Amino acid sequence: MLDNYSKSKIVLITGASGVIGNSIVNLLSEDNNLKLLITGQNEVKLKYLKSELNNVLAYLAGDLIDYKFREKLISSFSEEFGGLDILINNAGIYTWSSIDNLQAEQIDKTLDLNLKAPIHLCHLISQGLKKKKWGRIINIGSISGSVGEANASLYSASKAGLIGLTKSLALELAEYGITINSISPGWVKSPLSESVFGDENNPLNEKDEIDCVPQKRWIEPSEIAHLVKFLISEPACGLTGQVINLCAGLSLG
Amino acid sequence: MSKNLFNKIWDSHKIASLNSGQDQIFIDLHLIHEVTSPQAFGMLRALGLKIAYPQRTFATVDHIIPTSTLKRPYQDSLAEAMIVAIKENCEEFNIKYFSPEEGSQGIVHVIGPEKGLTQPGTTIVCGDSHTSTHGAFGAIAFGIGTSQVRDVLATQSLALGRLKVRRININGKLAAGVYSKDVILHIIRVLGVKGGMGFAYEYGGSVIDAMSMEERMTICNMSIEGGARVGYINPDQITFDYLQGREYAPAGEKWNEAVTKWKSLASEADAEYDDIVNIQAESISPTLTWGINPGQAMSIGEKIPTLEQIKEEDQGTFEEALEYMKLEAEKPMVGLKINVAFIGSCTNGRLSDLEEVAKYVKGFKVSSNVKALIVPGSMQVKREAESKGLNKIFEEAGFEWREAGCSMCLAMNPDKLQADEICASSSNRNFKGRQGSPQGRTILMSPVMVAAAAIKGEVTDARQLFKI
Repeated sequence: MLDNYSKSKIVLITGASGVIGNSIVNLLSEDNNLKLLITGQNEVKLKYLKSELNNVLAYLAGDLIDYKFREKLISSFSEEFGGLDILINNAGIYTWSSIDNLQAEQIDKTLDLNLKAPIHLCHLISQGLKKKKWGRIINIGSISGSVGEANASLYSASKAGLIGLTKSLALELAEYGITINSISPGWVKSPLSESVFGDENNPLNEKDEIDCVPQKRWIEPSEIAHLVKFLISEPACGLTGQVINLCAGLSLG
Repeated sequence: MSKNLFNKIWDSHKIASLNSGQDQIFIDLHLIHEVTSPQAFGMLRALGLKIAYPQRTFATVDHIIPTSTLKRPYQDSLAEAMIVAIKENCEEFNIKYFSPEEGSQGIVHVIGPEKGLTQPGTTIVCGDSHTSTHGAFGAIAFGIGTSQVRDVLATQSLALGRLKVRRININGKLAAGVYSKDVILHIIRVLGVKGGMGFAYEYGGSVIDAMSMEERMTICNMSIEGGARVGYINPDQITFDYLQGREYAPAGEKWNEAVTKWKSLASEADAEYDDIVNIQAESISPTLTWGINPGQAMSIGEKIPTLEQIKEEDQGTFEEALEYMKLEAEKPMVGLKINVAFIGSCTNGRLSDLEEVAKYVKGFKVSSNVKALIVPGSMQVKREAESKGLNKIFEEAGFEWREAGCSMCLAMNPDKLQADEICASSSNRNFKGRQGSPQGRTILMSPVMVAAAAIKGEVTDARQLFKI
């Protein structure tokens, strides 16, 4: 039987101060073999998570849109904790806008955070993982990236990009014992989704949207956390390059 | 077999059974503080929602507020911004706020009981894991996350799964110099830090029956450290005597009605439990932690255990703990030099904790190598302690006397350990880095044991130093 981790692993979770990130941090912190480093924009929330949860070693608040912050994040954590083993690219923003109304700034911001940051973070840790001959990368995408979503072309494009990253990197790093997978949630109960329904320009309401979901419900953040926990485990070593739709059936059409 | 208190309260607060298998439970009292509430208010605003029952939510500031000075603006601009934000949120949503402006702030788990808000038979939540403290009054009280804070604000209810109930009997008589903190550290040591997962702990037996409300709060406070989100004690005459006359407690005719109702809620002798554990009081000595979780604990007279001596489930973190703490197996903790002594927190920052410490430190001096803090749990505790002259006793002995707040329990404020300093602490968590430095080391113990360590400059048996 494959033991879950022969030695403790250093995990970096981005977007840790958001609802999904928070849920991932909470669940993973229960495993004493995982030592967590967290980043996000809400410094107080990160500070609180660190003081409340066991196994959260450090936090660094900042904006992943800034590539200098990404470099600082990886170099300072690597220096202090001896390199990462697991990266969870969770930070992201949702942009709801018709193609007509998109602003150039929005395009840059969405692609910077949702796509360029994960690519850059993978770049910054890839050599370290190769040396260890072990690694796990999880990208939190969205089913919009594979099935499309009207009035969210920018967001969908950024999440589709993550699928390309996941599959290509999985091929490139397979021989080093590194796996890369993507989780594509459907509608998750989080401020990100609620901001969409709260938008007065949005014709959708929560009830109509849930009616479209085969299981007639939201995805809970903790469901994503449990899947992350499995995908980064030792027994999941043969699973790589996969995009898993965690969507209560929504992606089935 | 009759229903225990937990199930009586649960059933009387159930609004609906949900398809998920959970129940929708009405929440009587919601306490909020500056750290876990701002996002919840933000979400409410984004959704255009109002607070369902603003009179059932009470706010204060404790986590990030400095305790060294009340001068505004605070040096930490983030702290200043958060304390401005909670004031504005409370004004906008019409929530009662125990504020620094009116000098009524304090640790949320100290304020609830002292104002008489915490009452038997109620459901109480707060965005803080030590909410189990309020269970001392025979309430179901537990910590919640920020999105649940939002849900309670918007609906005054939560979707929850029912817990199993473990009765923990502590019978016999505690020896002199053994405190409620030792009892709960001993329970966690015996049952493990995950032993209570899925359970509510009901504490009882002759030792609990004889305890004051403040001692009971210390016990319930640390339930979560043993994995139990909820810990409670059945209400009795000691509970009623504590509550009578407090600001928010029922008064006049309503008082008698309330007491009758509260009495009917207590678990009867034939109540049904999912598990029962018996602990003999005589087996408990002054207890302190040697590791990096509250279950890694020992009696003051014992030596640090070896790998073989601890339970298999705890062996995984054994070496990590010793390496981090820079300690060795089979060595005593007595004689270990400390750098910092901290008395305070929602576990042990109440008036009776301070009175007990004052009783013994009179005439002693804090070691010149130790920085020692005493931080009252609330401004009310501070004022009461000062009216009894306790602050003078502390200051003469060399302790710093502070304003109210969480202070060094969690170091979200300026009180932090430096480098690998060792802190004898009356708080509740000894996780790596909990007290602010990534290498900082925490040893949990009772306030009197902390005071003894501060005076000797090293871990010591308070019973010998103070001739208890």
